[in-house]
Amino acid sequence: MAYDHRRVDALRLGLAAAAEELRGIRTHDPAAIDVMRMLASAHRTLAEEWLPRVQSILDSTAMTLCVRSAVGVADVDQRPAFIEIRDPGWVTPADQHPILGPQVPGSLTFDEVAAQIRTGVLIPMAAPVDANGRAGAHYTSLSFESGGQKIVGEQDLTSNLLKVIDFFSDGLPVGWREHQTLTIYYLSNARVISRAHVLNAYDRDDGPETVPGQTKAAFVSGYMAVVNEASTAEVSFAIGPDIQDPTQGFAISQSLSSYSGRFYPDSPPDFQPVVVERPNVGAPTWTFTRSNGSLVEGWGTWGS
Amino acid sequence: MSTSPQVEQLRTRARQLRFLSGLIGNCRALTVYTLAGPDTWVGPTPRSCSDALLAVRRQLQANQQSLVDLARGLDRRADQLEQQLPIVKAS
Repeated sequence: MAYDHRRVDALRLGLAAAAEELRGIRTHDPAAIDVMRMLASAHRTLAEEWLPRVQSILDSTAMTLCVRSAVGVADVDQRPAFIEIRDPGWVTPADQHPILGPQVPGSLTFDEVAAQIRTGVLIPMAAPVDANGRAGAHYTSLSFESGGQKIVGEQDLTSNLLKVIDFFSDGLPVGWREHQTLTIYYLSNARVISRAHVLNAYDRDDGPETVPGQTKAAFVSGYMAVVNEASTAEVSFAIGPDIQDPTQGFAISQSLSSYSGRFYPDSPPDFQPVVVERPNVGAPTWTFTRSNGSLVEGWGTWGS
Repeated sequence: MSTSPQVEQLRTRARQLRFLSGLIGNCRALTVYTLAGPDTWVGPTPRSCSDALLAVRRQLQANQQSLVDLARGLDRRADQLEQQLPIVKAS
């Protein structure tokens, strides 16, 4: 309820005056008994029903001494009153089903995203074109530039066997360490670029040449599920005979890392041709292909 | 023209009822509903109040008309008595 304090006070005075006037109208004429009974009823309506209610509103401090629950946060229970003040024609009933309605983008938890991926609720973006290992065939790559991204959650996918091997590698001359981690990100308005390439010999560090005129880009929002795999092989050598201290030696290790993943957009991306590639753009966060895994240093495989 | 006490009593009652009707007609209870409109307050309770005050207004207007009708009835009876009086005296 919203009210104008000055006008409500005028209403209170009007009700009191009207009730007093009704109380003063009297007659002993037997023909007017019914009329007097009705006047008494009207007097009760004004004096005993509505006058106390109006007075209680004026006495209330709820609208004048309101204290917000937090600085800068408007109290939700005030909102209907504000709306009614602004536009009395608005209807502001309580929402009977507040949990219904469209999902807020990026609000799913890690488990919810994983479950929706398993059940097919989340649909992945169209996969890059695969050359299927044929030399000279075209394939595409999808590069996701870092935009507004947040980590939804992580999960260690390393098997128990690999964990045991990792444990014993600490005390053996030959060791093997391997870890798999699933990380789900939410990308907000990230730029994704689709480039075409030809499967042929290339410099692994520089990457393949891009086929001109076929580069497309779009801005996307959605969930990115990436599995990072890191493996390290270690060989330790002791120096000299009869060395009791295992740290008295040297080790040789070789590490490999790769990733694979998929992107699940909130809405289908609208790829537009890129006429001129932006210069001086940093390396994308992820680049996916389907051709023989990571063709280039830093590239990943689409799918998992 | 001479009148009997009974006729005079009927006319007095009719005048009093008309006066009463006039009091009701000028009562502020007839117009107090205008103070309870949406310019004053909005919400379910204000709507209920406005409805109640309008009902009181209709009730008072009906009472006002009822008193006028009663007064007219008394006057009619007084007129009838006055018309019968000369006949009674002549007989």
